[in-house]
Amino acid sequence: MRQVTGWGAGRAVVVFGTLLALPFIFSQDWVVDIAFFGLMYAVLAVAWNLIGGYAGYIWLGFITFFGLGAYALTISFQHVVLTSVWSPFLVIIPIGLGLAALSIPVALLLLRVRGATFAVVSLAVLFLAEICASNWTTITNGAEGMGMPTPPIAASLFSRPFYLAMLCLLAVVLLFSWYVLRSRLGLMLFAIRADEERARGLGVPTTTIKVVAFAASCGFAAMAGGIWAYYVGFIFPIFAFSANTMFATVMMVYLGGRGTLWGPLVGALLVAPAQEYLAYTLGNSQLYLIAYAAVFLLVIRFLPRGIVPTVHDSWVRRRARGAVGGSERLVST
Amino acid sequence: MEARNVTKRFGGVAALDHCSVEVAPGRVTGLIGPNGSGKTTFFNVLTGYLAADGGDVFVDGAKVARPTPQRLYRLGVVRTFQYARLFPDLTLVEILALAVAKPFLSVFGLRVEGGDRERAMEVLGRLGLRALAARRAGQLSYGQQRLLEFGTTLMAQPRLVLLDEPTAGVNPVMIDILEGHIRRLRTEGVAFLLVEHQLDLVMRLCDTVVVLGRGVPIARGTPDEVSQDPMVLDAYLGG
Ligand SMILES: Nc1ncnc2c1ncn2[C@@H]1O[C@H](COP(=O)(O)OP(=O)(O)O)[C@@H](O)[C@H]1O
Ligand SMILES: [Mg+2]
Repeated sequence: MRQVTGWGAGRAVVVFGTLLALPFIFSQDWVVDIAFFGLMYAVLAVAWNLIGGYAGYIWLGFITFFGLGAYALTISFQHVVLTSVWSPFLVIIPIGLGLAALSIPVALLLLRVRGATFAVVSLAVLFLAEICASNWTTITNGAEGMGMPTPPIAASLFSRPFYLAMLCLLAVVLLFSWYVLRSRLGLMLFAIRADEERARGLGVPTTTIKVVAFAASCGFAAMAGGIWAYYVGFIFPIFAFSANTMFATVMMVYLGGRGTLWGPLVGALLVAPAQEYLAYTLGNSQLYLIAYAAVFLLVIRFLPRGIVPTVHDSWVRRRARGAVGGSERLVST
Repeated sequence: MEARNVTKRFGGVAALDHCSVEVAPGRVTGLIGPNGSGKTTFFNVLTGYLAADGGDVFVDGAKVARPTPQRLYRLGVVRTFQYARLFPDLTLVEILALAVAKPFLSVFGLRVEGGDRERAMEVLGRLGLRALAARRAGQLSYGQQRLLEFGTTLMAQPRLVLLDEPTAGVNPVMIDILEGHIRRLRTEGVAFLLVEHQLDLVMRLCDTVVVLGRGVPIARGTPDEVSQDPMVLDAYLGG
């Protein structure tokens, strides 16, 4: 059914080839800066899709782990002088694994409830984390924020290592997401999303399966948070544990197509650069939040399944009307 | 398998009151009773969906501590639901493959392993659904969905199958298919517990019949004995 079609691999090569070439073609700092945030949101959206899309659990505490990753990296590099720009990126790997492990007890606690209750409780986790980070000043320096040491790199090249690191992470998380889709794990997650009680009756170890998806998504969020913290150089609780980031991520997944492989990435790459660009031009005003809400409402109204499944279906229909040739399934919905 | 003195209350009202039923390998036990007499609730307790307020479930003479659906599934106790419940976006092959009991690490393997696919195709063939193998369950007719539900129990290598009104909404041809499968599996030693409103099917198929009235067995015996029991006639006519 879902094999590596020439199509799928070809698409991945084109997408990643383009993204890899981008900072060398457009070398202006502001372009690479915007592109960096596009990639960051793509990582977050693809990672959130594992639990929010595949398993259907609207996990609104997700960005907690982004913030924890950011703080974990920054704290471990206090009073360190960087001799290489790359070393913090390596530390991000154990941070991701460690925070994925830490997310397991959280998952066991939270995943007892479902649906709207789960969404509300999980959002509370995010607010709680922000409050803790703001008040636990001995560790986080509170609302005054804390900084990473400056990397030894020419200012003209500043954005590129971060961009490339985020691109690597995107490749890893997308590969993971693809692997989940074509594994029995993905089948079980889809069954859980459709009808968890029925899945239990077929012997599906629902709790364990959900915890795996949850922990993986949290681990990737933590890694993205680490790269982000290193890039921006100085972090504050309100930006590390931001509800805006949370809702933006969810909106991108819904826009692109939740539960699909490419949908979250498409949604993020469409919205995030626009958002950054507007933030640039409109300055600090929060006007873009209104645009956000409007886009979200339009998506729910006109593209309830998101862009990727809708486009894919109309494409298949057109082909089926056209000539012979079966309806190859390019997107896993 | 045996359920002993199972009691289940919903807010003070006892849906099951010290209910005991035993099923033996290779036997079909019918469970009948008016609507609301607790048949589905009994299934839910036996399959770990509901925690009983009292009583125990035994499999092979051993008490099942803290029964969950998954644990009972591994012990070979599988069920269907009164209302067809399936995953509308999954294909028939995927649903049947999901029902195969496998070691945990297999979740990191392929979505549908080759061997599971073959078995699924074989089961679909037996149910006359082979041509629909790649369809999604949501595209099936209601009767076909119920047959697919039954198909999931065939994938599990079950020892006890609990069927909750398997013929409701199913056409006569499909009922024949279903009956044929129950008879075949019975000769292989599978036990059945059958909740069914179509009494002629119960009388044809069952070795033993238990009649529930308001959560307690009010009669049990062969189909002939039960159908002549005045208590039963009374319970049915009296509702
Ligand atoms: N989840 C539940 N909550 C409250 N009452 C229930 C629940 N499930 C069943 N009941 C009640 O338990 C009794 C038995 O119901 P049920 O087991 O569905 O009967 P049957 O399957 O024999 O028609 C009914 O009175 C029903 O209203
Ligand atoms: Mg019932």
